[in-house]
Amino acid sequence: MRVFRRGVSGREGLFGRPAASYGRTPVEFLQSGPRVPRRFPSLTAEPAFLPRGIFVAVTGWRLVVYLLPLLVAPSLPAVEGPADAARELARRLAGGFRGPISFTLRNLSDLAPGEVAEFRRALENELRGTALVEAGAADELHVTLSQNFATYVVAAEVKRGEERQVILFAFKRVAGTIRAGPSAVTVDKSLIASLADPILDVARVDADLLLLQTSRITRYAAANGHWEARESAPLGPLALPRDPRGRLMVQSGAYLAYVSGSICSGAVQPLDARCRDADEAWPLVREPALRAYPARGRNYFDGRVSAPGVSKTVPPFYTAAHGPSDQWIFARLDGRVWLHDASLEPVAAIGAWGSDIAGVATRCGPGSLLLSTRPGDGTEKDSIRVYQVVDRQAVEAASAVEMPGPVVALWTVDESSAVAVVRDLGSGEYAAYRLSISCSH
Amino acid sequence: MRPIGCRYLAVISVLAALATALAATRPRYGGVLRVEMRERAASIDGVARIGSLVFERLVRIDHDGHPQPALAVSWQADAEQTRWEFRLRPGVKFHDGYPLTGATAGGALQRLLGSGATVGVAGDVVVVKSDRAMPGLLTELSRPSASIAARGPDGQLVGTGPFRVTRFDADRHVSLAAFDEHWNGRPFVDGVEIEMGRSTRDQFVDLQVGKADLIELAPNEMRAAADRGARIWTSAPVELLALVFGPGRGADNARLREALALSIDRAAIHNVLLQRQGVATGALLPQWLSGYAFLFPASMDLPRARQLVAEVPPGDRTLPLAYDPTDAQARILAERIAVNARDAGINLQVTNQARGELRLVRARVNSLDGALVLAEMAAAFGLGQVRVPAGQTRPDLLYSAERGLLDGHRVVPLFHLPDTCGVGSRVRLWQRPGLGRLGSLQLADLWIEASP
Repeated sequence: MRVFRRGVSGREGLFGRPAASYGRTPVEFLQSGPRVPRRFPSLTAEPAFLPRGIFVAVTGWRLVVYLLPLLVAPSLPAVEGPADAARELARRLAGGFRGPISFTLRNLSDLAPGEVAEFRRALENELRGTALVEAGAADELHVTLSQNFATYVVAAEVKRGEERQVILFAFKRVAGTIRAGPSAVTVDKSLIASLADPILDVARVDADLLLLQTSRITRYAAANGHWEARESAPLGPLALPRDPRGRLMVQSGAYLAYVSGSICSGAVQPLDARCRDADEAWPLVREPALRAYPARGRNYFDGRVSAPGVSKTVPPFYTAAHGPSDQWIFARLDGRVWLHDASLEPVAAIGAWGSDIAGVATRCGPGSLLLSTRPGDGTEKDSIRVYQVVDRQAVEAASAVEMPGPVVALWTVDESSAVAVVRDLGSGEYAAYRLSISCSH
Repeated sequence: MRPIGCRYLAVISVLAALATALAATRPRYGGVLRVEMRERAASIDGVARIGSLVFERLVRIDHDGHPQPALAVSWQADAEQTRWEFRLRPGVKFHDGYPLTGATAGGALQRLLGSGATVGVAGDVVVVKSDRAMPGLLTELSRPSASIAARGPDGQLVGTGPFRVTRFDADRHVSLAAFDEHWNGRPFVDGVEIEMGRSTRDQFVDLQVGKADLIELAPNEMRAAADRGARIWTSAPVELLALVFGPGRGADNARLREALALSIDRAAIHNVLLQRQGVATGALLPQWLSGYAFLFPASMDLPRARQLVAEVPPGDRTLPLAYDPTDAQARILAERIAVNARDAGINLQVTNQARGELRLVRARVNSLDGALVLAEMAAAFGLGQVRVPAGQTRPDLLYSAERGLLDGHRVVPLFHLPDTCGVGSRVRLWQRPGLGRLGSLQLADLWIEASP
């Protein structure tokens, strides 16, 4: 790539001399890949012989021919979900079969067994009238559910007489595969620990748990079906607000604990802690990263946030989560939950929930599920609601999980779980619960 | 053709117990990372994997294939995708202190796009216009070939990346220093020292004795490294190992080509010589990229191969198999392939000549755009044009294009291999893996444990 700098003396025409040894300008050669012809002229040169909706037919097992079933390229409908994919496959199997067919279905993707079964049922329904047998029929249909890094792929190898075809198309796993209600998403609640002092956050460390409190950090290990404290390190006297917040991040054998106005750090094992005053942004969401500045001496964030490639000031908020399509969700001080786009611009208010939300990137749908507390005060028992945000609307995706008191902290732990800290109205202690999210099609 | 440096990606397996044995704290600033690689480069711009540390692009592609801001903080296109606007990130500086301007970036874009598009600049906005839609523009601009660089006052290349070049000894050594004014923050380490031209054996020894922090590992070295407690980073399969036929009497015989393709026992080679690293394949694009690689058979069919060879004139059944003499693994693979071919009645004469009627080559996946990767491979293998445009993601069209390239068996894909690195005990990660999805090093996110 040639670079020009206007107004910089002696710098014009940079890289004007191609590197003689390579026949390319130096930076073009930064990549070790083979040289390819200029691609831009062909960017839109979609060949006329490849109409949309094409399928590839293979005859004689090895001879590939391009069938041109459509001379005018129609728009392909977006295929969403296993059932839709099965219907699309049936549509592409135009002409059907003359008799029974040998049918196999295999799954090379991360689709859940229930989703594969859903695909099979839908396909069988579409092909009703055609007997599907395991082997021995003259015609064959071998379907593979696959995926690449971006989408799911249906690959159907078809044999009709002497004709061989390969039908390929992509489909998305979307909200349609998650049915709102208790049968789609399951939330399991398990008690981690119940302690007298406030619990701020919990993080996983391999098989252990690290638990952040206002005065100490403790490592717990599983033993005989429950969690046992193995070691603890004091955080020293910290200046805390009345409603302290904390965030715990663990990586590579070390942790960072963000506690209102301070940051503590140390090794996980053996556990130690060093704290300092700090007015730094907290990592509210790990991947993609969202950082925000806590309002000093308060229990909320002042609105200065940064996400990948963008920094902005949004209205102050209590908590934030990553939403679908790189959107962000903020629980504002007024109790409303707002959807923001990737550039952190507000898009729409999607609910009036509690002050704490957390995203969980399950594989139940196209994006993360959203856990939220409900509106209320500290004298009421709380509940955790599970939502999925689709088309700027929040859809309840599972039954609410009842908690024994107000939720005072709700953070994402990993892709499939969150931790909720409850001030138990019965015992007065702070109880940390792990909320594990799973799909149950 | 085997590329340089440690390149690698995402899936990380930490095999050592060393990590927990050392005291670890918050990311520490300081220290120098010592990297070793086999390849030698005559100029800094020839060190492909170092490029991403020194130079940056307007756009980057994230783990899921979605474009993300880099030197451009935002962009938009019209409905027809014939006009694109890129807003530059403010405050970006080159390593020599000069700011990144619209004129600089615009000139770079024009150079990249050539006559296929017109580039204009309005302040910090760069506008790209074309008569044709440009659906693959973001992917194009995310590629290393779209890096923005300049020459400093001393004539050296300068970029905007997290590291700047402080010393370059051709074929031997590269010294990089942390760029304090990087827009995304200074890297944790003070610098990176890269030794080139180190054999994999020497690299491994240096890792063992603590002289290196990051080395290349050949697939057949991974087990030994793991057994000795080294930490291993391994990527998704991003490198294709294949046989490529050139012109020649034997190579021009389609039956012979197909017979050779059917004679190779990929499973045995995979299990023994490659120690089960990577995957055997009959496809150009790896499964993780296309989703349909399994449709290209990779199994041996010796009876069919013999049947085909019987139809080949005896004089055409012998041809040389060339391998890269600098590729330590290639010779044993070539010899094993020759053994398989002999079973089918084909006589392969293994040679380390660079050119030959039949070559064992490596080709790299350099993009998440399958159409682009196919175009690159087609060009590298002399297979002609790929009739699917950049940015096309439809699997049926990609499959058609790939099928067309593989028909005739001018290329016989063998394996998709991962990148692997051995990592020293004092290297720590923070927030992000040390490897980009396509193998770029992300050393700015590494930090080094303080010496006890």
